[in-house]
Amino acid sequence: MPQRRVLFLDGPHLTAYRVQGGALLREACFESGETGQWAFDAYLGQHRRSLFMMLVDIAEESFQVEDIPFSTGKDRQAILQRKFAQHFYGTPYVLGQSQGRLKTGRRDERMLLMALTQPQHLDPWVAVLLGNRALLAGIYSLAQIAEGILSPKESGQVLLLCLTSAGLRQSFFESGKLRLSRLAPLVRSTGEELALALAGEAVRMHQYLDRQRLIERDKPLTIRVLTHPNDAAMVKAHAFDNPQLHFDVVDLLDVARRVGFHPSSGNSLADELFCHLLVRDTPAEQFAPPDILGPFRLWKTRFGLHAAGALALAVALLFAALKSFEILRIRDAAEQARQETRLNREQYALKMQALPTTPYSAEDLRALTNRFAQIEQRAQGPAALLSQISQSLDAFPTIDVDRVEWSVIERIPPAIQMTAPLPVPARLPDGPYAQATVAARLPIAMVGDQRSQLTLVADFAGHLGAPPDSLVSILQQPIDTQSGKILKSGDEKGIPEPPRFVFRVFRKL
Amino acid sequence: MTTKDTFARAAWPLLGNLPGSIALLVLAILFAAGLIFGVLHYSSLVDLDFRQIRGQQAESRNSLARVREDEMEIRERIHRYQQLVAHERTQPEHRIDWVETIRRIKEKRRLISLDYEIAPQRPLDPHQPPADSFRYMVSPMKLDMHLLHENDLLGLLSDLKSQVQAIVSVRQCTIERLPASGTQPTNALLRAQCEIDWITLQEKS
Repeated sequence: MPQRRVLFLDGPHLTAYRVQGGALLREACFESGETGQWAFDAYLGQHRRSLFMMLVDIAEESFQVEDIPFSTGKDRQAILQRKFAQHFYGTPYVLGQSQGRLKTGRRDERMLLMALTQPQHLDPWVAVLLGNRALLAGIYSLAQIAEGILSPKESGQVLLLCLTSAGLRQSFFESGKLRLSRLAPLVRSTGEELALALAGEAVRMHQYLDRQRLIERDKPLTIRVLTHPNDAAMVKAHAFDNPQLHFDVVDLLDVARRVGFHPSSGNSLADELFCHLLVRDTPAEQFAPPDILGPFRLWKTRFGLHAAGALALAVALLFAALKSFEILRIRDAAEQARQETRLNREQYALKMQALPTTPYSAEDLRALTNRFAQIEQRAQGPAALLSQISQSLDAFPTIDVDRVEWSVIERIPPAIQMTAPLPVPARLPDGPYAQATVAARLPIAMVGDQRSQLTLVADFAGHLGAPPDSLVSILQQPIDTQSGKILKSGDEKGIPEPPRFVFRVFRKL
Repeated sequence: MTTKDTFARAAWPLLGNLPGSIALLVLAILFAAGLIFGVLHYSSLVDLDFRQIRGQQAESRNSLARVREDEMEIRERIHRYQQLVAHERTQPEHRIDWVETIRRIKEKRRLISLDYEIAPQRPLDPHQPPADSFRYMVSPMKLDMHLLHENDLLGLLSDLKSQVQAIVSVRQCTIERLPASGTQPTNALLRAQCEIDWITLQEKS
């Protein structure tokens, strides 16, 4: 952040203060006129990177209270610009301060319109500021800042009297909100003359407010006088309460303590206190037109860009740091896991080393013996299945076999002919299987008895497929009774042929 | 000179710095994004490595927990391998011995006729990687014989299994009844045609 400086303009003088913690250091004072402007130009040349705020305390001010229809955005700006043009023609230094919405009617917004009506007091200094590309954050009136003197819970009507180097600042507040303010030039000499002037100005201001019907007549107006303890006794001696006025002398040092300011002077001048309040509670509204604040807005834009970049970097670095801690933790855990794995493997290898030696590793030995088991399983030969068929043939001695085709298969194929795919029973899981396709015949005596042929074949298949590891499929019946086939009588004049059928039997190896 | 002119003169150098600030912001964002993505990428690599190591750790723990079972399993496998060696299944094939064995069986069982043809030896698993430390080899044999009874075939196969230094695996056999006519050379009732694999284990040094 750049160094902050406050330029206090009291009409004939522009005083520059450097903000340092809770104190203000008076750096320079420039007289109005070319000499002062040159000196100010030189001063700005030495502090190009500072951020300036100008606090104006001049008599040429104007205050108007207006109730405007509540609006926002461009509409509000347009209304305010129209009001500024009506009331403050000829000065660019204007502002509107919202004082809240009314409780009745269409709930208009009450605005305090303020203006610095003599721009020639400010223009020379502003020109020097712009010429030096100084970062002017805003122009503020001392009347704006005076609210900070009051207690935050201030209610009722209060007239605040403060002494500044420009004179006696009198600000009228209603329920803690500024209604108007004026600066009365004051020629200070002795403390008694000062106290008399304070009391006199209070009376005159009361009369003005009364004429303007701004105060309640049946209640005394509270006059709050901000003075240094050195001057308090004198003020109290000349400021007497009466039915219209009630004087309340406020200790400047108490107020300074409350707002965190360390005053350097031992008198009642509140210039530095107001400068401090400006830095501490900078108002949102200010008097400078937008074109004057251009360099500051550009600086703010650049500052925002830099801040955004720094924030992005900071977030990334923070994220990277947090993630790095997590990575380190994971790597530590991984290293521990790696060590445990190595130890486990070493212990396992030690156990395995005690086994008899072979030319093969454990994995190769597994592969070798597994493949051997597969080979051995398929090398059982046809004896078992042929023996099973023989047993069934013994049980049905009228059936003869002409041909047997035996082979080893890996899965049971779907049945041929017109039947649906042969469902593999759950008792027969995956292969391999021994398969035999057998061509057989029935006795010639059964030629004319088709029903007996089918019954005998079914009984034979039932007997053959009885073992749980076997499955029998009839591929060709001795007589085809399916509706889609031709069925005709035998040739009684020819030589009779024995009925033939084909079946296939599977047995799990 | 108007206030606006003064402002324009004052603001131009600041405006000139604005692109630099924007560039700085872009660079900062790029760097930040690169840093975050880099860290995330590295973190994902570390996570992946950690998951792999945790997998290996769990596997090694399981291995250690079942070391007793593994020990028994490997002992069993070694025993089976030793049986293979004891039955001389790991010896190079001796075709002359096989031929003599077949002749002896034929004579012993008084088989009517027995013709055979042994094809060249080849790997049993042609897709097995050549780098493996063992390989099963197969010599396919076709067998054609005339029989009086199917038990002659079963006896022949049984004798072959017990007498040769190879694993005898019958792949296919067709047995058919011969027509009862006078054209047969002998009184054979059946004809059997088989395809048999002679399998041996070839160990690589």
